[in-house]
Amino acid sequence: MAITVTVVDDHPAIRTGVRAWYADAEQQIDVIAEGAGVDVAWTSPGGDADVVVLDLNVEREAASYRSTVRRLVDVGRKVIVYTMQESQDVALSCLDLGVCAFLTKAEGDAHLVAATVSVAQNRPYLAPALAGAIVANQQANRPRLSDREQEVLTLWFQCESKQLVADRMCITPRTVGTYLDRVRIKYANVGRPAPTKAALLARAIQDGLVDVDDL
Amino acid sequence: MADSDTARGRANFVERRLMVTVRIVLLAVAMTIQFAVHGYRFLSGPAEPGAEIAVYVALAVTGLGYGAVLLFRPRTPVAVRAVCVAVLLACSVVMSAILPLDAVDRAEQWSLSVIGWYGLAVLFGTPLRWAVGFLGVHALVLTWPMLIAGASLEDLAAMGIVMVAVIGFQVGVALSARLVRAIAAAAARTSRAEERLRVSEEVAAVVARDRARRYADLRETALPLLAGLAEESLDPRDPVVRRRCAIEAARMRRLFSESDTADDRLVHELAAVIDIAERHDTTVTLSVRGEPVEVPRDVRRELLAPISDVLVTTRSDARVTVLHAPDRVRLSVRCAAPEIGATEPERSDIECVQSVIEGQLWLEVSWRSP
Repeated sequence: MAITVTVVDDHPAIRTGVRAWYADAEQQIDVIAEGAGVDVAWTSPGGDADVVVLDLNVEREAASYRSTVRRLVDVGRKVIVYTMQESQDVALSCLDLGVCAFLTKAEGDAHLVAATVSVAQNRPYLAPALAGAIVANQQANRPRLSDREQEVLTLWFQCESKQLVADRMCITPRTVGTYLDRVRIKYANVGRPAPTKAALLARAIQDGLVDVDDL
Repeated sequence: MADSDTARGRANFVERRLMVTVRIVLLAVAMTIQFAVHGYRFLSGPAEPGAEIAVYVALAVTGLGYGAVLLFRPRTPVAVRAVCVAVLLACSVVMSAILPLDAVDRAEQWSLSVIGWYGLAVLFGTPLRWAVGFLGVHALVLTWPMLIAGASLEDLAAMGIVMVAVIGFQVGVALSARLVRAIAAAAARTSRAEERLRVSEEVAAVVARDRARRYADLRETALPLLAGLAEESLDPRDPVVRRRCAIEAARMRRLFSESDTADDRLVHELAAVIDIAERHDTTVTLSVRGEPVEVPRDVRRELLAPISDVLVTTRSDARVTVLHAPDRVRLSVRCAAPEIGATEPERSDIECVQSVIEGQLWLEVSWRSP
């Protein structure tokens, strides 16, 4: 079944680029609505899309992205934040609000399609920029990560290649993926509750990625 | 941590000074009452019993002695206070013994308030229970003979009314110590904010002076170059001229991009390297994560050297990351492998790992803070 997407970005060139990436994807992904304002994600036809790809700059004020994201997440919309913002704080705050994936524009071509497919299925996706933010996170309420998980996150942040991380750590790329997914699930299990986080956890338990007892 | 220690130290300092001032004021109150209000009666009135004059003198000596100590040793030793309190209570006992068993006489006699004020001056600022306890004991000592003699309820009530008026007021003053503490804390906060402001103004002035100096340097090197180009005495096709232009442009960019809050020197210097690399048509994406930690200059130089070598010699796009952990700094670069190898760090506390797979170089340099 095709995945439907609404793209919210104030730049037409970005929206066109995102359309082109989705058109080339193996899985069928349809952009059913796009626009410069978040209203396209609330009105028909964009209101029914499986996934919302959201640029944080669509709001005039820097801090107002929080309420935009929160409103979408609270009604159970699966949001992929796709932004120019390189800031670690923004990445972590989006994660806490309950977005499904966080990508910077620099990593779009390599990760946006894969992230969309994962997110549509309620599966975790942890892109390198966010991995860097997580490994540097010093907030008091952060989930506890093992040394091995920290190392995988760091190397993934540095090289953006599961194969290279696997080679350096003498494990398989699949294991690298499992480490990343587990870390993502740990973050879904802390902070502010959100329907998207619950869906992510439920799916992770179904897939056998985590045990109910681990949570 | 250190900052909060200084803050606490400052609050303590302000509090101590305020407390000393209040103690001096209370002492002045006690002495005024003793000498100005009651002194005249002792000098001119009918002769008082010898014991009462002795108490009067003892109180005067205690007050003057304590005042002298307070002026020269603001941190009054505990022993001095203990001696003062002992003398005051002894005076209270003596007075209680010689006064007649009459409720009004006892309540209205001079030593009730004077001893109380001296006690407050000595104990103000110590835990509240000491001052309140002292006043309670003092009142009890004066009432005790009446209780033993089986005074009537009316007598005790008459005495109580006067005592509550005098001692109650003094307890209220003792309670104000808390208020003084709150004022001290607020004063400390204000003075801290003012100091921060002064420091930031000073820093801004230093930065401005430094920048002015470097703009002046720029005038000496960049202006002749620009003038030469304008007058066509320098040829833009000449590689030497082009290199001079590149160097000047890089200097200007660094100067313009410098901000007052550049607390991450490492990333700052890395940005300069990236500048040069981008001049060679390499597109560099830089990701920085974590709170910047202090990295010594020598370590910075050795950390940046291999990254710099790779960036200026590669001919592909590059990804550079900086990760600050509380005890470790990790820099990494990933790009097409250049033909020339990177400098190996010489320091033993700097680790360098690199791998080349399918023409892609991935190099990490890291330093663990001691």
